[in-house]
Amino acid sequence: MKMRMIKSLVSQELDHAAFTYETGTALGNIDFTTGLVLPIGAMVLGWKAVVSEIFTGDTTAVVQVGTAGDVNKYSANVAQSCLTTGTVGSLALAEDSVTGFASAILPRVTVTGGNDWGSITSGKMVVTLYYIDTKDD
Amino acid sequence: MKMNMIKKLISQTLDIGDFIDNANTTGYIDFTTGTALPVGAMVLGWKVNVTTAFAANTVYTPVDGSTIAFVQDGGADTITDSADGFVTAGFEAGDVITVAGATSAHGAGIAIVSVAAGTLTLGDAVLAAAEAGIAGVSFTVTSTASVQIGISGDVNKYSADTTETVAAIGTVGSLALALDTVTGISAEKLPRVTVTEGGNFGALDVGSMNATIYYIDTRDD
Repeated sequence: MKMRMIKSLVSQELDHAAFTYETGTALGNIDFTTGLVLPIGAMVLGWKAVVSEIFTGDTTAVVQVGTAGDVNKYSANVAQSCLTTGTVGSLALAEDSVTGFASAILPRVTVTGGNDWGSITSGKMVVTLYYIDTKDD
Repeated sequence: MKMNMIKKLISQTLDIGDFIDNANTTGYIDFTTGTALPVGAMVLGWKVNVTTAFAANTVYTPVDGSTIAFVQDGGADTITDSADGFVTAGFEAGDVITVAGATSAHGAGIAIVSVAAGTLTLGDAVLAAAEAGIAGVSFTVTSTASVQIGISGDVNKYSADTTETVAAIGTVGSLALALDTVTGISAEKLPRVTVTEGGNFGALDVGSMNATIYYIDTRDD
C-alpha cells in the first residue's frame, strides 16, 4: 500500500489588471503563470481562492477554475463570489476533473461579472488547487 | 508546491438517546462542542461506523390476535382491531411494519398511512389476503434508518449520498456534496448528523454509531 499526500499548486497573485477581457461578455480570465502547471497525472480534488481585494465595479462577480477549453473543469460550484474579501472555493467537477490528465494542464481562472467584465475596476486573489499526484502508481 | 495531509475529525459516540427528535421522520445530533471543522477545512467525505443497528425493537401484539382482522376492500387495505388497541399499543402513522404469525404472507415493509384505535389504514392492495381471528399475530416496526452529515441549516452539506443505511451494523459513508461542501470555508463548522427513519424517527429505540469526517486543511497554504 502506498501513501499519497495531497499536493497543492498555488497561483501567482491574480490581479484584475492582468485578466484578459473576453470582449463583449461578462467574463475575464487569467491563466496561471507559465511553469505553474498541474503535472501529468494530477487528479484535482478542489480549489480555494483567497480574495485580498474585492472585485468591484459590478453587481456580482463569481469565480470558477478550469482550463482554457473547459472553464469550470475544476468547479462543481461556479457561484463562489469574489465580491468580498475572504476565502471561497469548490470541489472539482467530478465528471470532468480527471479528463485529460495524461498531459500537464495549465489552470485558468475565470471571473464572471454581472453584466460586462469591463465594469470591474479592481480585484486581487490567489487560487490554490489541491490534487493527488498519481504519476508513480 | 506544498504537501497537505488529509485530516480527520471524529465524533463522539452518537447514541440514539442523545439525538433530538424533529417530531417527523428525522432526528439529529451535533458533534460535541469543541469538535468543529476548523476554518479552511475542505471536506472530502465521511464514514460512519454503526456499532448498534438503528432499529425499532418494539413488537406490537395488540390485546389479542383473535381481535385482529386483515381487510381488503378494493381501495386502501386496513387492519382492524375490534378491541381498539392500536393507539394504546403505540402504532403511529408512517410506521413501516412487518406482520408475523398470520396465515397469509403479508410480508414486510407495510407502511401505515393513518392510525385510529380500531383501524390501521394502509396503502392500496398491500395485504396478501383478507383474514381474521388469528391468535398470536404480531407486528414489528421495521427500521429503514439512513444517515447524512451536514450542518445546521444544510443537513446534507457533506453528503452526496443521503441514503446510506444505519439499520445494520457496519460501515457506510459518502463523498461530500461537491456543490456545497466548500461554501463558507472561512468559518468553523459544527457537523450535524441526521438520521431519517422511513416512518417516524421516534419509532427508533436503539442505535449507536460514530462518524469520521475527512478533509484537507487549507489554512496553511
